[in-house]
Amino acid sequence: MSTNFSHTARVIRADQVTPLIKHFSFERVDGKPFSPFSAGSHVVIGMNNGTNTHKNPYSLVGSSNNFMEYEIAVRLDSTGRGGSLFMHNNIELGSEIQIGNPYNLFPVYKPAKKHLMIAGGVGITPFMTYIDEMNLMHSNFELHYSVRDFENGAFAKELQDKYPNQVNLYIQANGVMANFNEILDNQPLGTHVYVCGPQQMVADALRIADEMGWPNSSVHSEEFKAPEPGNPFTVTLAKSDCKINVRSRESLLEALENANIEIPYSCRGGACGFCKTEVIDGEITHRDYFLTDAEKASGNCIMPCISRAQGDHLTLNI
Amino acid sequence: MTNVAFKKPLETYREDFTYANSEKAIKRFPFPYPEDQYMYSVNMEHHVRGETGSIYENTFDVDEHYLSEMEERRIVLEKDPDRFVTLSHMDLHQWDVLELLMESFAQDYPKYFSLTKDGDHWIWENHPLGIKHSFIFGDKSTLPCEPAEYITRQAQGDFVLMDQRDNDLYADTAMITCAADWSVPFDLGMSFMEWHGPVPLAHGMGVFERALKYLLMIRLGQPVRRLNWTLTINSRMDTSPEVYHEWGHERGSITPENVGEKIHLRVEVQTLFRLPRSNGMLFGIRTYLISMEDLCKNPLWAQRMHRVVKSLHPEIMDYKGITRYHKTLQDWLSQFDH
Amino acid sequence: MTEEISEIKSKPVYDILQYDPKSRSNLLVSEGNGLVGLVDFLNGSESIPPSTINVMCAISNAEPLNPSSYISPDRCNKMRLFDSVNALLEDLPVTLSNSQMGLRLYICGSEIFLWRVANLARAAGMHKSEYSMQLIGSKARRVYCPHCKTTSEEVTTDIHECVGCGLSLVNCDHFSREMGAYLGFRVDAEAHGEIPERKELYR
Repeated sequence: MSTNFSHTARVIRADQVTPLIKHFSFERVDGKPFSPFSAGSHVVIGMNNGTNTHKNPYSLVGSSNNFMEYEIAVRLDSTGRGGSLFMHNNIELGSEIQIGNPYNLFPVYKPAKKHLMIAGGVGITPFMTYIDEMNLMHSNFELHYSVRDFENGAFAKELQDKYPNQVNLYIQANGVMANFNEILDNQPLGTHVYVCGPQQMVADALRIADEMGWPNSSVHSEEFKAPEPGNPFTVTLAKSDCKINVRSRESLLEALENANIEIPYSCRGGACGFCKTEVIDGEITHRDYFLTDAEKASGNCIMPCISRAQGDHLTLNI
Repeated sequence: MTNVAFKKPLETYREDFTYANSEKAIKRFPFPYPEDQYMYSVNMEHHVRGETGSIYENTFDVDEHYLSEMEERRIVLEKDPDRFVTLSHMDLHQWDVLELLMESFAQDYPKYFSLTKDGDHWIWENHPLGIKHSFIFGDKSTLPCEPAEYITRQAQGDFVLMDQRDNDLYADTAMITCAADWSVPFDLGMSFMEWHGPVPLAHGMGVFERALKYLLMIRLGQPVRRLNWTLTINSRMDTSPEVYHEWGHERGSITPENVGEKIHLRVEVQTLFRLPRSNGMLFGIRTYLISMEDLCKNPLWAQRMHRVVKSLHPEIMDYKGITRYHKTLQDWLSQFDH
Repeated sequence: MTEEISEIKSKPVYDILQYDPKSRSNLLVSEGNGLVGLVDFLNGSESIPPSTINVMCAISNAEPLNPSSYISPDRCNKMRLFDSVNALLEDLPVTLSNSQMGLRLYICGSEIFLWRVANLARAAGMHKSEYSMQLIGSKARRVYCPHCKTTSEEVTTDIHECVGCGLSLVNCDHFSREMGAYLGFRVDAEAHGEIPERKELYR
């Protein structure tokens, strides 16, 4: 029995808000409202391109009309595996897709005295829902948002207009860069910092926070880690007695799904633990954040959304 | 359409203890022992709809004792308002539980409850309690008290709202008027391991580590449940430390003649829900009581009860407060085991 | 509720003060003999730049150690002495409200003192990973009575009379960090009048 429940939804708005970012709104085809969700949640969007299904997680950027609509913003990644390209080129008004229930790997730390958000590029997306929640809760917050240029800064104008005192924009084209040392300096006790954006930016911000004495408990980050390509390999399913090929640019999870084998999943990025699967044979290249060092060393389990065979074969106990 | 025969006049859970189960209530009682011996386990299962007429038919079970239990809650809170406590960062969680309970009751018991929404303007009706209230969802000033208190005063069982942070769960809001011997407000703000601190043996078995890891991953729309049990003297709902000085002596009042009438099996149906707006968790503790006399009308249950009591680990016996009357109970139950 | 108490996992366990090398500034807080813990800590952490160290000591009347004799002025940025624990605890929230992320707090003293300070730190927004505690001094307990909701201070015996309702309470190891207190309950609830002899356990 599949535990990956989702709803069929159709696109009711598809706006190219910047040259690289497209903003979509969806409503359920059954006419019912979506579930309310917590700030920082993402949903997995499933799209069928005729041959197989792309499933990508996207942060919710908001909802309207008492949850009758969900909104996401998708950045075009031409070097990626095709999901965002497909969304930009093929998903338009009226298109139908699958939306999973919201799941949150980047929640707001409720008892914080102050919330400090550092965003880069499309990393602004989870903070759109953060700011909605902070507004509601009358929380003390500050946003530092780096964009390449004003045109490409999704929501930049909207945010600056609405929250002139809390939003700081850094427009790289104007030579203005966010200085993490300055941002993280002189913050009162009880401040929590949240970082979301390109991998290098997140790594830099976390390193500087660490150097400046911020404890790990006060530092939160979200990276949209897509599975990296690797060597192709074969997989034997011990219980189903069948063999599957995993191609270079698809994850083990995707290969299983394309062969109609359903595995529970949630984040599809190695963080949540849902797709953990038992391995009977074969060496593993672990790329996840979920398994403990001991579990990785034991070699008897794998996170198929992001990890791969080290060699040319794996046997799974499914 | 679920019909419930609410007991009237109201039964009491104190002083004269007029509480009693109908034959129907006895049949649907959640007997908690899968084996002849009892030991701790994580024992969680998906909280899915069960058979019609069973306690699992609906998301939150409303039974014949509803009116009596709500009156009991009212009495406890009147004497001790601190049985409902909350920390200031829990507003979203509170609105979550209000929404969850109202929607569940209205959907599962349309004969008794209704919820009408017009944007944020909601109208809630609870016919058995004679309540009709219009309010603005999200605006505390439109409710007579805190949102979680408001709705849990209309729902059977105790409730804990947990904030999920630091890879842990914190009991930051609670309505506890039928505690099986644990204290709110003492436990308010405790982490998962802290509030389970007093439970013997289970820590060494790693039960709580596994349970916590499992709970942290529970998803929206996929609640889980498990059973917990203890024994109570008389049909006393409020066996909290707060009033222990009032009920503790009852443990010494058991004789071979009154076992059947006085000793009650107390089963908690514990449900756990992911909350949508706060990302927190709701921990529902729905308590069912049955006298030994009524329990043992079922010969299979009687026999198993004897074997569980006979083989109970001394530390567990101790922790559950059974020691003082254990032998008397075991002797009485032996008549059902051949 | 039982006469024999099993090992309870919520009971706090203390260690010696642990320096966090990531810290940007360090606040050392002690009462009475807790000073000894701060001195040991400083002696063992000579690499910490003195400019990042501030010290607050409450001098106990019973054992008037003079902190200035033990901590030389060039070992820290500022040392402030308070003639009572209450005076120190009144000042601490102000000091914390002027502090920044990167602060670590090192607390040394009796158990009751440790938690009074820790709770002020938490109220200021600090997380448990930002402060370190070492128990030197009295293990006397604060005990919460759930029957009358009063907390008795400085309880050194396993059984005591509640200052609120007068019932004889036994205290167990179940501890509330928010309250800084252990849970008590009526010792003779199951058999009124049967009160065991009390033992002094927490000095």
